[in-house]
Amino acid sequence: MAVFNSMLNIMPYNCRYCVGGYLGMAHVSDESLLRGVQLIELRKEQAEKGPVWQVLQNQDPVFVNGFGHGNRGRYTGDSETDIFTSEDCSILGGRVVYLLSCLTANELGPAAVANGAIAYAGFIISWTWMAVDIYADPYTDWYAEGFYRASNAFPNALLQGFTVGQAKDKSIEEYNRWIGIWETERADDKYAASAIKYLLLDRDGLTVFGDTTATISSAAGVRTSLIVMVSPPDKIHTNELFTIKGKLYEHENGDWLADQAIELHELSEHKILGTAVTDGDGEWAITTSLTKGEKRLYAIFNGDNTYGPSASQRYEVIVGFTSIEVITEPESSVEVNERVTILWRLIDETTNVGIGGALLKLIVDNKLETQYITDVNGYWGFSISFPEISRHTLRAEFPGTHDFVSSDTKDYRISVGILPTIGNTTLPPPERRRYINCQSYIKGKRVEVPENGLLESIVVYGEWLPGKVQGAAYKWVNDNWLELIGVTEIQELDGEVGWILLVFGGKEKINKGDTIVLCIHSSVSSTVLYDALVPVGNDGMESGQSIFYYPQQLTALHWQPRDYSIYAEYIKEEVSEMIHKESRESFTFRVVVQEEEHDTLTMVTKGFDQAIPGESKTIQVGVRCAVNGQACNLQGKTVHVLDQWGTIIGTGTLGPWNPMFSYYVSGLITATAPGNVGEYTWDCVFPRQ
Amino acid sequence: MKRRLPIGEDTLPIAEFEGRYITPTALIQLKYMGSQSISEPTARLLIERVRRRIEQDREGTALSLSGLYPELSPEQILEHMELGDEEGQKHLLAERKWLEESIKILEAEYGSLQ
Repeated sequence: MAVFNSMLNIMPYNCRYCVGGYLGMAHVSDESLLRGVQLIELRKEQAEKGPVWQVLQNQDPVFVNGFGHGNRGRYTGDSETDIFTSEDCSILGGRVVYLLSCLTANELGPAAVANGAIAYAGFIISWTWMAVDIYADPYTDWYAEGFYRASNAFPNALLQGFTVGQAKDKSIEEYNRWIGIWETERADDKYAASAIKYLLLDRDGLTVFGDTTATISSAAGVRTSLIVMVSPPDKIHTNELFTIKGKLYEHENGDWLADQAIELHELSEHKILGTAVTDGDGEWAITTSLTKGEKRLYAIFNGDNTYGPSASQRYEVIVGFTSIEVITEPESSVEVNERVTILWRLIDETTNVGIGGALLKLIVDNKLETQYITDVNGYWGFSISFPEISRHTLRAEFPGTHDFVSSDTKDYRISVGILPTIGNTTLPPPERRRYINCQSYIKGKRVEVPENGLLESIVVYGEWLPGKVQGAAYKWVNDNWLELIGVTEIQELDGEVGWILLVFGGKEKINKGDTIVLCIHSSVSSTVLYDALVPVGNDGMESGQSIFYYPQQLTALHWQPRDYSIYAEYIKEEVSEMIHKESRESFTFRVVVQEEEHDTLTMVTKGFDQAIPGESKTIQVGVRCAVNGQACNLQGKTVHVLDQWGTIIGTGTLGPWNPMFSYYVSGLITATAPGNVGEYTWDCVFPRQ
Repeated sequence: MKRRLPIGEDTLPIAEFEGRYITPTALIQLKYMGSQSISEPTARLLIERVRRRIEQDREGTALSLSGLYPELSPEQILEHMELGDEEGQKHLLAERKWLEESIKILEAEYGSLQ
């Protein structure tokens, strides 16, 4: 018989979709400790068939709790190779199993029970969830939290002493609770419907086989509590002694428990680090040391015939910790194909000596880019370039070894080929700008900068168009960069200076206080790189006058091969012309050959011309017979309101003849305006009847 | 707090009536007018709901522990639904469950709509 009050957590990590499950299962581990259940965790590369079967054979936990990729007859581990299959699952005999995996309840679950498993719970569908950040603890993620809490409710209920059947009910309750949250307080979230439908899918896909009355707990004695008064340190040097102290007491009446054995466990290596016996005040103390690595410790009282088990919380201790020292930091902004060079050094923080021969991983955009071995002094350098305009994050990871704890750097953000935008940021956005007597602004001639970054002088020319602002600009290169480095005469195009000439044409005077904006636009990134006000003289500008503009800020910009255009905009916030909006009204008619079918006329007797997104509006529709008018009684007939897709969004019934309109007019029909801003046309339809 | 359809869901078709899609508002109005001919949801209707939700940028990316399709964008979800493969059937099932849940939300306020 398997060992009660004991569980195995199988926690793969390698695949990016498993990271959430890995972090989510830590909450089940916490629950097991809280309940005094002996916990065995197989994490990351340990989450494979060999270690799993070895633990099941040797330590024999009654409860197997795992997540990871699966299929109808397979459950896989860290390397996505099989741990259990429907043909090879006899090891699950005598155990309760919960697998957060896809489809395994179709074949693996029934096979496990046929092979003697007490009970099996899993999913007949692909367990589906949503997340803002797939790498975050799902309990902190806006979308993932509900999915993982609902799934964890199953193992947590078993740990709390509930039966398999009750655990299923608890899990379904938690799915329902989250469905309720998305249908109430989070109903205004734009992805609420998606979240609900996958919660429904997962909830209904949870399937249990075998003995639903089974539990994973032995008969409980008097409930006890184990507290820690002196915790272990967060970080400690290898083989450094430390002491953990605590007390054991009866939970209900607080009486200290004397002469009881306490064990200090280490989860990673499944070791008992030390034991102690409580004194007359229930106090215990264990002094020990640790080898290098990330250790997870907890103290446990295993209970006996009189007292039930209890455990302390879990403590994570880093031993023999390392750090990655950044010798040369990467540039935050580089050009396309420019090499980014970084030099790092891996250090043993205990001795402050570099760690040679260690594997370091370069992670770019959260994916493994490459890996290197540090030199004898722990140094590690590399360079990388990016072929396109883009943004990236970059960090180094030391995954740790048997002797050293893992460490990583912060994320470095790198912009590639993205110029800083400078200029006046208080301008009205383009959609609010108005152009007097213009259909649009004047665009400059497009210029191609060659691959080597060199550009011959002429860039932009202006075109005289009556009533519009005319822009003319020149700029040229210095060395490998296109730069504006000064200002001289118009005629000098010698590659040393730069300016922009604006000539104002048309009949209108540009008044003091009016705004001229100079823009430089990149057709590659479709962004305005430069957007600044051009000062107009105090007396304004007459047609035919010109102004030199010296955009000093342009000298701060680095240019690179791409297309640019320069244009000027004359902004006037007030629109001088009255514009009448398009209006329309639809009607429906029918061409008939049968004499008894009469044409009808439809009229919108009450519509609306404006609504806010999602607003509930009312519409009234009138219909009359085109042949006989009032003589054909249409009262009681149906009319519909159709949206822009032709969907019926409102329906009403025609009332009596309305002499004011000379139509049979419906009651008020309610319909909801679209959720997005825009102009829409709806139809009022009198269907053939 | 009263349960309600999430934002934008009232603009999606919830059933079909005489060959046309109808929104929840129209469904309620037809029910009050005594119409009976609300049909079972078809795959066509379920796909149309997802298509319009995508147009409104309200369909989320689906993650799963499936070995084949661990991550599907809204557009990929729609492709599988239209294709009708096993993955598409899963999303049709999820959408059907949500449609049935939507009708329950409406019925809690307006009475039986079946």
